[in-house]
Amino acid sequence: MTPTEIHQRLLEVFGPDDILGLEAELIDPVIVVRPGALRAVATHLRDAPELAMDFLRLLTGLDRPDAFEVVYHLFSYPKRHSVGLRARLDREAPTVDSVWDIWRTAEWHERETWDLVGITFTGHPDLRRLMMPDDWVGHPLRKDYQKPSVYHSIPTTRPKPSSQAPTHVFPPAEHVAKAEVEGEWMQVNMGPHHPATHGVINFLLETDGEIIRRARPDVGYLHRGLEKLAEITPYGNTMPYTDRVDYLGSMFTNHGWAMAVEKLVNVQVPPRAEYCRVIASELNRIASHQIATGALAMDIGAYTPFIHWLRERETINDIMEIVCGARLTYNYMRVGGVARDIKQPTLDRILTWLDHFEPMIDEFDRLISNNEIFIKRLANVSTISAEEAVSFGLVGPNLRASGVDWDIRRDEPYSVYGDLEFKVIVGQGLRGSVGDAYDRFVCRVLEIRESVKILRQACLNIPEGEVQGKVPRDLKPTANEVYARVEGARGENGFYIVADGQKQPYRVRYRTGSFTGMSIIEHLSPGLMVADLVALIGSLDVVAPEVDR
Amino acid sequence: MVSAVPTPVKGDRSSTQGAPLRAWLQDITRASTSIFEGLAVTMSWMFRRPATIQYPDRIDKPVQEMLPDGYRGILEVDLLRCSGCMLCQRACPIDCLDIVVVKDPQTKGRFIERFDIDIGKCMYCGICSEACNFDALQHTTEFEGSATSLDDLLLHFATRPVPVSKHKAGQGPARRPQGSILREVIKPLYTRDKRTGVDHLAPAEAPPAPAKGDEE
Repeated sequence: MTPTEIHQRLLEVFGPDDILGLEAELIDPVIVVRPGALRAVATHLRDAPELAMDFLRLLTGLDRPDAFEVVYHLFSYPKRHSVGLRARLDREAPTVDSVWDIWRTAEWHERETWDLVGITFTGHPDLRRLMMPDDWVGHPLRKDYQKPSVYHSIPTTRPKPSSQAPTHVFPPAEHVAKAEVEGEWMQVNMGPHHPATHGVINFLLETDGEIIRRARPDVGYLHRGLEKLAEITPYGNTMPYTDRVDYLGSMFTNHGWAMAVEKLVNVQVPPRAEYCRVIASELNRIASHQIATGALAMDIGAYTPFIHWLRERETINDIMEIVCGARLTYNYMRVGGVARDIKQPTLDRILTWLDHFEPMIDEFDRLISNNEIFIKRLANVSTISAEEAVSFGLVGPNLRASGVDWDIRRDEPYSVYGDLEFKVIVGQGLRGSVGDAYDRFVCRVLEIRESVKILRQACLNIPEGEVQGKVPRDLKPTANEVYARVEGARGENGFYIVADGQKQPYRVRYRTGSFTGMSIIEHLSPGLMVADLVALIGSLDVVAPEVDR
Repeated sequence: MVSAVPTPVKGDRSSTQGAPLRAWLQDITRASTSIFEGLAVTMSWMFRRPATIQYPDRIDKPVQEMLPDGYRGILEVDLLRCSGCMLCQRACPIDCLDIVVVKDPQTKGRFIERFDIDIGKCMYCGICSEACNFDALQHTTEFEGSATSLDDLLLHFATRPVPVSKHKAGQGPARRPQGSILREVIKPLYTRDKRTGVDHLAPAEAPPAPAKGDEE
């Protein structure tokens, strides 16, 4: 159904008092709903069989001059249609009903929205700060927010080194490891610096012996305010910042940002540039999945496969150095094209490397994927059913491993993925149940093989031509809203931009796969062994900066 | 507050069907064979060429020379080619360039008085060097920029006022080899003993690099 039809259907059910209108002129149309009716409309959207909006892609808050707004972007896996919802809230007391039990992924999204924009969600079970420290004052993404100059005697700005820098005074160490015994359970901190958490994340474990009662992720250690930064940076200059959203998959965040801005300013990308993007993205996907699968094996205790993968990844890094000049923060794509062409010698080198690499995947399978101890360690651990995966908003390999056949590259083809042939890997429950940790691992290994296929086709079929389209010197899109998404290594990388006619966006929201991947851990943890939590975190392929942004 | 309804892990840990004893023996057989399979792969790599190189002292040539031309290392500027147009400063997303162009009131000539690059702040995105139409501002393949203080990361490229270049794009003096200007400006943290090939921390009292005396 188109957004107009969905709007008509909602009007028939709820009437014009609750459904206030359709903003059809936006690139991604949005239905405006009365805040009081939001829960009823949301439940209908999810449960009505002809609508079946089972996936909450994005939930965010907006600080407009006249009102606060909550924006929901919904998608339906069975019907493959999408629409946005918007509720305008009172500026004085922005309050709206929580939808956390309709789409479970809303739990963390609402916590983040309350933390950063200051919108209260009534009925939310655990409305605490998510990104900022618990004692932070104010809501940073509000437009009238004033940054404190000092936080716990740490200055929040860095002076230019040429001026005399003040001596930093750090507060006395107040942090003491929390290990309190209450009844029969014990609280243990896992992290913030723990090798198995893949970045700076703290897990508050409530354990009864080796069995976890609950694991609560405490994120926000790497919150750099990239969304706030994007509000003060011109559209084109935000590109290097998107590298930092997900350091293992910079190419996807680059691509998503470029696509979102191209939609806003209506720029055509030359075909050769599209092929360059696909080649770079798939190389990046291989590198990212190598880290994911290798690090999972390493967390479980198998160190060798990780080193073997790093050896192969080194060649990708070398190729990336030639292609875009950096090994990790690529900053390769530009609005309307790519920064540099991939020349023929580089394409030949990629093809030669692929011939060498394919046997290496077999070798990796011999080393670890078919290792019986490794399989026993992962099979049937933390199984995620398809319903849970969709409700918690899992995306990418995590979603596919649970048996949902969905890949944005195939189902909503962007760039030139429509012309390339590849298979979408879906979890089979090879050695356990569908959606267990081993399925998530195997899914990634098989996706590496598919990426090799895509790379071969793209390197051989790349057309001649320009790599940069015609782009106005100053990007100044008119007031509009856009949501663009790409299939990243950790699933859907969504970019929601609200433009207001300035050189900078009015509001930006990065929707990342790790954020929702992290939010399911608390739900899955009860009853797990502590050692299995490590397998769960590793198999979800959570990257800390992508959670925090 | 408990936000999630606890769901225990479903299913049995063992996936093998059949009689318990047979399944147990099968597991052991499979586990031991797959261990030897993995060990065979590891052993085979003992006879293949290693992929690692011994950085920094046991390599044939410096890593800087192995890197491709387009590598985005530390920035340098050739002031003889710089027109003082400030496009790079405007393009920089994090304001790490500090350029001051002054006008001589008598001769009406314009001079670059200051060209500072804060490599402690630079994120090596390459947007400034793309904006430069005169090939003046460039990334080098230099990457060893460690210093003992933040002040040393502020590179002063203009040691004295330099007249702006009036050449058109693509003309003017030839670009000096990449890295040569930077090596004059950057303060080396280590000095290499030519005889032994061992690096030593540069002495604290070392005379300041020629570029340190900024005219201001």
